[in-house]
Amino acid sequence: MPKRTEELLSQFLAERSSEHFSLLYRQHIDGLMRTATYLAKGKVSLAEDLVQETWIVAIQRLDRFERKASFKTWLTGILINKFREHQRKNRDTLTLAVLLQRAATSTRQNLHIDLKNAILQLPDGYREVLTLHDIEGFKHKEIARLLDIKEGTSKSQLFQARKAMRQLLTGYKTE
Amino acid sequence: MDALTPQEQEAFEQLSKEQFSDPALEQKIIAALQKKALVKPSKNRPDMKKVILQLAAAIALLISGYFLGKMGSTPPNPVADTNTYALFLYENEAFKVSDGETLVAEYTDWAETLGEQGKLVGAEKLADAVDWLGSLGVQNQTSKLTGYFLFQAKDLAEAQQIAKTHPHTNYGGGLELRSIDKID
Repeated sequence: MPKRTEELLSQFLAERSSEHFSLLYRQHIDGLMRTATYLAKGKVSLAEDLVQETWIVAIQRLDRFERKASFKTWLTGILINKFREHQRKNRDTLTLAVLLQRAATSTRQNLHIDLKNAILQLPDGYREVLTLHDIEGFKHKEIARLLDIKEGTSKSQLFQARKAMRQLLTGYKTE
Repeated sequence: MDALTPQEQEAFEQLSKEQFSDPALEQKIIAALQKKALVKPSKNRPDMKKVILQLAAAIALLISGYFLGKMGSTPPNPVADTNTYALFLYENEAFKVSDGETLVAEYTDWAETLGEQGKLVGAEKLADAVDWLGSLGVQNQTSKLTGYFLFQAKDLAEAQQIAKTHPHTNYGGGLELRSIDKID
C-alpha cells in the first residue's frame, strides 16, 4: 500500500475527523468515481449514490480492513458489491445487438470520447472487466477476486470486451 | 490476448486520468457520515455569523473609502483607455468555508491589490434577504448573488485575468464577469 494512504488511514482511525476523512477521500475519489460512472453506464447521480454508499460501508468497516489488498482494491470491491445490489433491484435488458444498432447512428468524435461512449454501452460483464483492467489498471488476479470470477474468465471477458468495443467503434466510424 | 493498439492505449490513458473534483459531493458524503456518527464534525468549523460579520467588515472597509477614499472619487492612477467591469459573486450550498479568517484575508488582499493599482471602483456585500419582483421563471433558482466588485481593466482579456485571481471559486463559489456597457 502506498505510504501516503497508510498514513492517512492511521490518522483517520486515530481521530475520525472530517478533515482526515477529506484527505483520504480526495486521494481515492477520482478512481472511485471513474469506476462508478462506468458501472452506472454514465448516470452521474447513480454513480454518486454508489460512491456515497461505498464510503459509508468503508468507514463502518475500516477497523476490519486487513490490508491483504490495497485500500483502492478494497474500496473498489465495496463499490462493485453496491453496484450488484443496485442491479438486483433494477434489471437492464438491453442487448448488444440493440446497442450496436444504436452506435451505428451516432456521429464520430475524438477516439477517447467514442471509446467512452462505447464502453458505457457494453454489457455489464464486459464493461466491468474493461474498466477495471484498461482504465483503472487492476491485474486479472485482482479483478477475479473483485468480481468473484476465475482469472481465466477475466481474461476471456477482456478479450470479448475489446472485440465488442471495436465493433461499437466501427459503428461510430460508419457514419 | 488481443492487445490494444497504440491509439487505443492513448485513448484509455486519457480516460484513466479523468478527475472528479466536486466539493458538493464531498460535503454531501461527509454530512452523511456525520449523520451516522462515523466521522466527527470539523474542529475548524467557522462561526458563520462571525465570518459574515468579518466579510461585511472587510467589504465595508473597502466601500467606506479605505481604498477609494485615498484616491478621492476616482482612482489615483487611472489606467488609460480603461473599461469598467463588474464581477458578481454567486454562492449555493457548494460554497464551503473551512477557515473564515483566511477567506476574509484573501478577499481583502485581492481587493487591496486592485485598489493599490488604481483599478478598484467599488465593492458591496449584498444582504441575504431577497425581495424578488416579477416572474419567478426569470429568477436564478440555483445560486444566490452575494456581492460584487467593480474594477477597471484595459480590455476583456485583462479583466478575465484579474477575475481569475479572485479566491471566490476556491471555496466553491461562482464568479460572473460582465463589462459595463458604455452608453453614449
